[in-house]
Amino acid sequence: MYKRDRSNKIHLIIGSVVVIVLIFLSVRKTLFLSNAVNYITTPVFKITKSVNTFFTTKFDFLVNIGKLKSVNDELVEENNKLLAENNVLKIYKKENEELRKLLKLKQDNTYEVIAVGEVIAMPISNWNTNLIINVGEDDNIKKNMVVINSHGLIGKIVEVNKTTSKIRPIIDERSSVSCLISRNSENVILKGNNLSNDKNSCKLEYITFDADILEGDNIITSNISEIYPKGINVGKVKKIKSNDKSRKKTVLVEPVVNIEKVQKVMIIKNKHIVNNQEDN
Amino acid sequence: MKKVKYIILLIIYMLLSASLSSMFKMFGIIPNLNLIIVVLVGLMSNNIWGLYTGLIVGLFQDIIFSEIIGINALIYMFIGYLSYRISRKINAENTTFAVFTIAISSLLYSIYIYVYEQIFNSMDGLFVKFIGTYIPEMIYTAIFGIIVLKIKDYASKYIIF
Repeated sequence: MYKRDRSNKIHLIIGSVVVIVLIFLSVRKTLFLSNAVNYITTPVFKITKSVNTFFTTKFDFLVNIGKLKSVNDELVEENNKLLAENNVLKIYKKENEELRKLLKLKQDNTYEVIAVGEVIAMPISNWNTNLIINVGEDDNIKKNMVVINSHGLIGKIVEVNKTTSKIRPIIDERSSVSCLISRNSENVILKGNNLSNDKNSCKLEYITFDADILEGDNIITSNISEIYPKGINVGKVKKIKSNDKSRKKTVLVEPVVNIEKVQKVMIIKNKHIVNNQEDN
Repeated sequence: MKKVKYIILLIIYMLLSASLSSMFKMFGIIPNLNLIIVVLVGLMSNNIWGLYTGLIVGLFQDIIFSEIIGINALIYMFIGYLSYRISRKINAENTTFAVFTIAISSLLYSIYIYVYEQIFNSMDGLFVKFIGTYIPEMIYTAIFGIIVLKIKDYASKYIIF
C-alpha cells in the first residue's frame, strides 16, 4: 500500500511539473498543441453550433409567430423614420466633409474591416468568458485587434490560432476599455462585471463621487486607448448607486451588444498593433 | 483496450461538454461539467485515473478556451488526485457523498481561480463574487452531479459498454 501511494505521488509530481512547464511556454506564444487540437475541435463546434442554431431559430419562430404582424408594422414605421433621418444626416455628412477640407483637418479614419467571422463556441466556465470565432491567422487576424458588430463593441482578440481566434468580451472581469461619456466627454474606464450579480453588465471604474454621470448616458470608446479606435458604441448607463458615507459611486453599464446572442462579428484594425504588450 | 475505450469516451464527453455547456446556462451561471467527471472518476476508479482524467480534461479546456495552457489542468489534476485519496480513506460509494465532494471541489476550484486571477489580473470584490458566482455555481454543479450520477446508474444497468 505504501509503495502504491508513493508511486501515485510521483505521478502527481511529474504531472504538475509538465503542466507548469506548459504554463510558462504558453504565456509568450501560441503552441503547436493548440493549433493541432483546434483543427479537430473546430468542425465539431461548427456542427453542434449549426444544430443548436437550427433548433433555437425554429423554436423562436414558433413562439413569436403570433407577434409577427405587429412587429412588422413597427419595423416598417421605424424604417421610414430612419430613412428620413438618414437623408438629413447625408446632407450633414457632405457638409462636414467640405468644411473639414476647408479647415484642412485630417479625415477621421473609418474602421478598416479585416475579416468577418462567426462565433463557433460559447464559454463553458463562469470564470473565462472567451468566445471562439472561426477566423484566425489564415485570415490575417492578429492579437489585440478589435471585435465589433453592427451594434457596437464586443471585445478584442486575445489569442490567434491558424483557423480560430479567441475573443475576450468587454463583460469579462479581466477586460478594461478606456471610454468616454458622449454627453460631456468625461473620461471613464469600463471594466467587465460578469462575476457579480448583474451578469451581463459592465461597471465604470475610477470615477469621482461628483462625476457628472446620469442614467441613460451613452458610453463610447475614447481616443486615449492604445487599442480601441475612438467612437465605437459601447453601452448605456443602467444604474447608479451612490454611497454618501464612503463617498463612493458604483455605475453599472449595459452593453449595446448582447454577448450571449452574438453570431456574426467584424474584426477591425486597432490603432497600433502592439506586439507582446497587453493593454488589458 | 479498456484504456483506449475510456479515452475515446472521455474525448466524446469533453467535446459534448465544450459545445453544450453554454446551453445549460441558468441565471447567467454555467455548471462545471468537466469538474463533475473528474471528481466522479477520482471517486469511483480504483487507480490513479482521476489524476489523468483531470490532466486531460483540464488541458483540453485550456487549449480551447484559455490563453494560458495549464491553469485548469493543474487544479483538475489535483482535484482528481484528492478525490481518489478521499475515496480510499472513506470508501463511501453513495450519491450524497459524491455530490458533497463535487460541491466542495467546485468551491476549491473557484478559490484557486480567484487566487490566480488576483495574482495576474488583480480582481477585487471577493464577497460580491462569493454571492454572485461561487455559491450559485457550487449548487448548480452539485445538482448536475446528481443528474450525471443518475445517467451513469442507468447506463451501467441497461447499457453494456
